[in-house]
Amino acid sequence: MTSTTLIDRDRPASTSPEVIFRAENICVAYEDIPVLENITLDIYKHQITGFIGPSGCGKSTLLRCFNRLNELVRGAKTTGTVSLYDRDINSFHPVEVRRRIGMVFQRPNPFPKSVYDNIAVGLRVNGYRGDIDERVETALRQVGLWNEVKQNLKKNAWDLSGGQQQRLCIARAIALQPEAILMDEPCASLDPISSARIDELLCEMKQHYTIIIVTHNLKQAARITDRIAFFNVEAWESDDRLETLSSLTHKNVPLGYRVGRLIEYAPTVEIFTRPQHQVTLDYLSPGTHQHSSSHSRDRQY
Amino acid sequence: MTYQNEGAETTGSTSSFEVNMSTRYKIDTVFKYATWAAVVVAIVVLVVLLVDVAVDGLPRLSWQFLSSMPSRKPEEAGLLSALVGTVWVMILVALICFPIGVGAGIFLEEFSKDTWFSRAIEININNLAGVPSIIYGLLGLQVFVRWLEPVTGGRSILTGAATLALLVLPIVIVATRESLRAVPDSLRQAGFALGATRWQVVREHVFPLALPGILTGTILALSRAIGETAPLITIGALTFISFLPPLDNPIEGVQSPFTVLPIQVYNWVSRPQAEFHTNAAAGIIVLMVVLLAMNATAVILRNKFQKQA
Repeated sequence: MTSTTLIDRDRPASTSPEVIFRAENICVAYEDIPVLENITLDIYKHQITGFIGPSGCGKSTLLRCFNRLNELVRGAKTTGTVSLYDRDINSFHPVEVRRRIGMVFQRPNPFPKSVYDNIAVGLRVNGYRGDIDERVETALRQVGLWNEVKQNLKKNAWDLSGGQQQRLCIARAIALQPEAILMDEPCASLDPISSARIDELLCEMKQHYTIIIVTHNLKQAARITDRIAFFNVEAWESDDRLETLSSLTHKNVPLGYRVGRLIEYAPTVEIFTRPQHQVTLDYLSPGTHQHSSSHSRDRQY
Repeated sequence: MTYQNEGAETTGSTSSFEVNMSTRYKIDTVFKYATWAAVVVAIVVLVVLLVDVAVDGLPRLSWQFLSSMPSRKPEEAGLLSALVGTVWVMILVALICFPIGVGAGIFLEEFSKDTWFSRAIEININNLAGVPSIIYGLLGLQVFVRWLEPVTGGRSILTGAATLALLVLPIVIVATRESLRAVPDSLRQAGFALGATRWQVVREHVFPLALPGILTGTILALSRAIGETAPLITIGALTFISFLPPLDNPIEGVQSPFTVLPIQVYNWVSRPQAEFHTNAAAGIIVLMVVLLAMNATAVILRNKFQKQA
């Protein structure tokens, strides 16, 4: 790993948003079954971008395209390009991409090691030569875990509570000082207090990191994100759609087959106050089947 | 069976569920005793065997028995050379089959792509685990005794160990793959997401968690190897050895002729004199003690790694 990637994160956020990721015509299929069709969007630096939409619309799949983690899934095939600062991420070694772009998963997945080692192992595998103790402490302080665990850094991370584990996973990611952090429903398995604490943390982190977060919690999305991308599962209606996927799958996917699409991508305020599409409005309208996917699926716009 | 008759009686009830708890409890009880009987049969057979061997062999066990070479006179005969041969062979088998078996398992599970070739290898490895041991003996005879004679020294400890290692290799590979598969995928993803290479993920996160399972599989494999007689007879392990492999020169040591406990026992059992049969019973006890000691060591190692993980 080159040390040039360890750039100083402490400079102030620039006022005009700079594009960090550019996804173009992303299509993904698992085992010849397409799940995501023609996604094109830009992710801006030092912003929190939220991906929302019903289950199965491919939000998490898209998220995993940004650090090339989909490649490790058996039977996954991706077309289109994702660029990091205008460079195709496929031209990097996958290890470098993942080292520069951190990820936090839906279920807390700390390693079955001590709290200290959970953070130190990431530094060690990447050949960090600085003071590991100091970096561990900084990361734990940033996620507000330091005071809770400083007495016993040797404690096995699996003995922490769920909220603590998830904050440890975030600390583990930010200890590497990534350029962006991908979060796949980081609060899905947490109680409201832990969840609120993580929201606070994300808002603080925004000054230094670019964050992409998948969430089903619309309140969370409204509270912390700067921009929102709304995805939906839709059926194919005509044959021309199939052509875009011909490179992706050998199977003859029938008309009416459901695939994830990007419906709307706009600043959070725009999405919540003036959505351009009826499906978005249906999904966001409070009280009426907020979390039900079937509701918005069945409408046509 | 009575419960079938009882079931028929309640079919006339208006409810669409047949509650009929007593029948279900009865089936439960019947099944419990059936499984219990299976355990009893297995245990009783084992106990009878052990008691029979102990009655015959225990009086014969003595320091003289352990420290003497084989002899024509049953009361002077001992199994020192067989005991030492077994220890040499088992150490070598472990040294050969652990790295190769675990390495192959890690490659197949963590590194290889899912192609028809890797699937073919997988099927073949599973089949190899079921190949009769005498076939491995013939393989060892041709490859290690004849072709590789300059290396192995012919009918030597090294040849025997290499043959037995081949025999148990599939067991180690399958056990390794099973325990790697049991490690949750979320940990691999966490490792990769932190920018670790495949090797780093395996070394730091996957292997330590899988190690207890891998050790258990290796113990099973070695327990099978220690009792094998057929392949060693095929490659020409001797039945009468009155010297020990030289310890000061390991290369010469592993190239010397040898015998092992099962062969010594087999040899004694096939003699006409009853005294030799007593020797055989005592030999079986020694073999079992060695086996238990080996397993105990492995269990201790496993528990130690389990605590660390």
